[in-house]
Amino acid sequence: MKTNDRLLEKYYNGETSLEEEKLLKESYSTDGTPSAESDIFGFYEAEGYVPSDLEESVFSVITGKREKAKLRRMWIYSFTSAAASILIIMTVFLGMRNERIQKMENNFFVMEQALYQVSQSIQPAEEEEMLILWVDENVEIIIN
Amino acid sequence: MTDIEFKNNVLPYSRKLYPMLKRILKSEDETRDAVQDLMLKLWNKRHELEKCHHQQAYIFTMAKNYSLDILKKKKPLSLEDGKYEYLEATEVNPEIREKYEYVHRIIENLPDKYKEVIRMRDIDGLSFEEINAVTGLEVTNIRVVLSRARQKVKEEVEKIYNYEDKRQVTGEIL
Repeated sequence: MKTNDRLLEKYYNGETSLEEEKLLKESYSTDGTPSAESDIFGFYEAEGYVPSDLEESVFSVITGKREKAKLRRMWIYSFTSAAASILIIMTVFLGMRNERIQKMENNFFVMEQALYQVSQSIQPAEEEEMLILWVDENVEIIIN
Repeated sequence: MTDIEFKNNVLPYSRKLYPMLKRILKSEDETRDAVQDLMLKLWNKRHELEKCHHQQAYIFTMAKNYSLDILKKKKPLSLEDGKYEYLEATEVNPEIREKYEYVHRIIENLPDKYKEVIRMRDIDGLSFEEINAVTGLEVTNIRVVLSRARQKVKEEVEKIYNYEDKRQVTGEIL
């Protein structure tokens, strides 16, 4: 009790540490003797009541929220990457298609050229300095 | 700041903030939500908090502003102020409950500064540095205020109950 008296004196002088105050309050809550301190400390203890699972539940909500944010981020990433892949595939596909069309056009042009040359070569050479005076169903008047 | 660092350095403050917010909000559920909200705000600002030299001052300033916001929103309900609502979580008999109500009323009637300091120290368990962070009072001044407030509470409680008489009565019975 002497230790308590000394502590109590320190307490009323505002000189006790938090640990000493805890000790003091505990000793009064177990001591059944009615006193001003037992009522005062009892009141403090009741008012200072904190649910035992408080920290745990607060932390689980924080980690839960963070997991959700992570999931949302992951979803955004996967969506973006899927969109990017589709874009790449489309680009490659369109590129190949364009190339094929270009190739076909080139081939056609070459063939056209070849055919033109063939048609040129099989045409009879036109007579030089030929003057056509009259062309009819029956008569052609030509001067060489 | 990692999860573990937050859990070890910031999360324990929720135990000190809980009774403080409970006094304003009265309801346990609302208090829990408020602590939750406040801790989430601190978590989102953890990088800022990490750079901060006076983390406890930062945390308590944030808590103080948060409480002021709650008070502003709660104003229409201020009719209930001054009424002591005992926690449902701890069951006490009516006699003790009555005594606690007296203590509550005595503290309620203390000058604002006394009331604030004694609650922060004796109910919330704040260190002198933490009380300084919230109130701006110097530590030596806090000790003086606290000492006077504690003596005043004891005086007033003893005025109501004559403990010496009661002790004698219980002594005779035993």
